[in-house]
Order: sequence, then C-alpha cells, then structure tokens
Amino acid sequence: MKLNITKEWLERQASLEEGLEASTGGTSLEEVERIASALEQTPNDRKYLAAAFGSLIAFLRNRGGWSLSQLAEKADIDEGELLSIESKEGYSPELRTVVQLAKTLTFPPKKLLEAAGLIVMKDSELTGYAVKFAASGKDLKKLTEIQRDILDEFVKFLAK
Amino acid sequence: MSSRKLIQIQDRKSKDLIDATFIDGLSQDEIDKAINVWKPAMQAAQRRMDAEGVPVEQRPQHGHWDWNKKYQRLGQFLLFQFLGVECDGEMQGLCLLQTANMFCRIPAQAGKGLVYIMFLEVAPWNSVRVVREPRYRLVGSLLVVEAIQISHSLGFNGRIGLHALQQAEDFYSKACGMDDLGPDHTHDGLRYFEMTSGQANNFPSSR
Repeated sequence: MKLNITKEWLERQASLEEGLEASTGGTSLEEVERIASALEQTPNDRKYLAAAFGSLIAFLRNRGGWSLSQLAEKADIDEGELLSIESKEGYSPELRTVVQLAKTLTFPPKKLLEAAGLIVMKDSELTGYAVKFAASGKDLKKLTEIQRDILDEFVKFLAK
Repeated sequence: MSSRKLIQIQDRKSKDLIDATFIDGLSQDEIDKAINVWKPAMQAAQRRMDAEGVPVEQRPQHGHWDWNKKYQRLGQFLLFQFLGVECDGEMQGLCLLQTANMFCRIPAQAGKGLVYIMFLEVAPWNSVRVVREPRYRLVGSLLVVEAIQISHSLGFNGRIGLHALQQAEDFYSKACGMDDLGPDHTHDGLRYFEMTSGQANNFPSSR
C-alpha cells in the first residue's frame, strides 16, 4: 500500500505541526540493554522454527515448479540468500526477504515472519506446527505420508 | 541493506517545500555523522538556556539521548529499523522502530501486531524546545508516515504505537490524530498513544 502524500497535505500538516515538539521515546537505556540481552539468547523454539522455515520454503518452491533463480527473480530477492535459507541450518533471513517471499507465495507476511523466527506472535500455535514439521525430517524427496500430512497441516495453518 | 527515497519537508521561514532524502536502514557511520553535528548544537542550546535561566521543565526532555548506544545494542537485530531524514547534507531527524513483538492496546484491535515507534527525534535546530525559530517542519510527521507505511508492508494495516514524552503529547494527539490511552506505569508514567488502521488510512490523505 502506497500512502498518498499531496502538496496540500504537506502544507496542512506543516501548519498543524507549528509550535509542537515531535521528539519522543519511552524506553530507557537500561530497557534497551535488557531487550538486546534477551534477544541474544536464542530459545530452543527459534532453532526449530529456523530449521522448519528452510524446508518449508524449499517445499513451496518445488511445489510451484520454480528453480532457485526463478523464485528469487519472482520475489525480487537475492538468489544467494534464498539458497542460504534453504540450505543453512539456523540461517536468519533479512526481514524484507521474508516479506517478499510472503507476497510471492501468497502467505500473510506476519505468519511467514513468525515461521522464520523473526517475530513472536501472542498465543500462537505456529511453533507447535513448526516443531512437529522440523522433527519429522528435512529430506523433502523422502517424505512419508505422515510427514506429508504434517507438512500440509503446517502450510494450511500458515495460509489461514 | 538501506533504501532511500525522495520526500519533501518545509522550510519554516519561506514556507517552501524542499527536497529531502528518506533513509530506511541507517548505518553506524550515518548515525555517527548525525550525532557529531547534533551534539554540539544541543550543547550550545543548553549553554544558552543556562545563561537565560530557562527552567528545567521547559528544556528539551530528549536533550540527553544517546543514539550511538541505541544503535550499538539494537542495530544488529532485524526487528529494529533505524530511519532518518537527510537534507542539506545533514540529518534532520532520526527514528527507531520496533517492527515485531509489539501489540495493540485499543480494545477494538487489542492483541493485533503494530509497529512501535521506540524513539523519534528531530535535529536540535528543528526542535521548538531547543531553538526559538526551528529550521524545518514535517520531519516528525514524515517519520510517522513512514512508520505507517512499514506497518502496512508487514501486514499490520498501518497500526502504530508509541509512548510520548510530556512535551510531545500534543504533537501525537493533535497533529497526528492518535488515540491517547493514558499514563503507562511500566514506562515511567508516559502516556501511551496508538493509531488504528482507520486513523492510519486517513492520516496522510484526508486530514
């Protein structure tokens, strides 16, 4: 969505701003430090999510019949990064890359960002699906019927 | 990876709209360069206020902020984005967004994700609390517009939230039309403001 910023809006908004202070922020440096330290600890769930995400993208790419370069071009992302997502255990993709993949693969960006381990949603069931999927094995060529059911369940949950 | 785009801010004196550059994804060097100019400007303003005996409550509440520390600790994480507005070769405003793990509080959208404006600061020469005649207007508003834009791109439908310093409350309620949800005791009693997706859709287009 591109926001419509007209000359008239800019002039009106400039008048509204007159005499007002915009500088703001409610997070102390101690809190910044606490947030950074917490993020440096990687919870186990994140490892499962990262492992499942690479396999999921590989599965969806194969299902769409795209090569690495075709999907990279379609999503306007770097092919090397796509390869890293699919092949490197625990690889943490760029936020933009995941949003672009979500758009191309028609998943809600929030869900795919969560599946990539980049955000945590409140009360989410996604980790449960991802853990089941990651634990069921990574070799997409040798999926059993049960593994395929788990994968389908995961994909359906993401698309909801 | 950073991206740049052309925007327009207003020269307060002439009222002319002039070209500026919006930067999403600032580097450590860009932050350093900005602070190396902002710091002496803020110190000069503090000396003037000392000489004039300006009471503490009228001085800028953001005068002590350390963007280098913020960048050093949070710049490495993907869920934080550092934004800036550059004009005349100088940074006119900085903003730090948290793009995940923050949730709405307005009952109608409670629990839904939003983009949180963790810090937003205009350059000392654009701040009404620092100088008598600010140089540029619209820097703060356009940083808010960009936060809304990023909220849309992440699937949060334009929803944003922030805690306002007391001196900035009017900017977010009157100039941005955000809802004031009152004091938040988990953030030193600062008032929490939130913009719904409906308000976000109206903010840049019809107000």
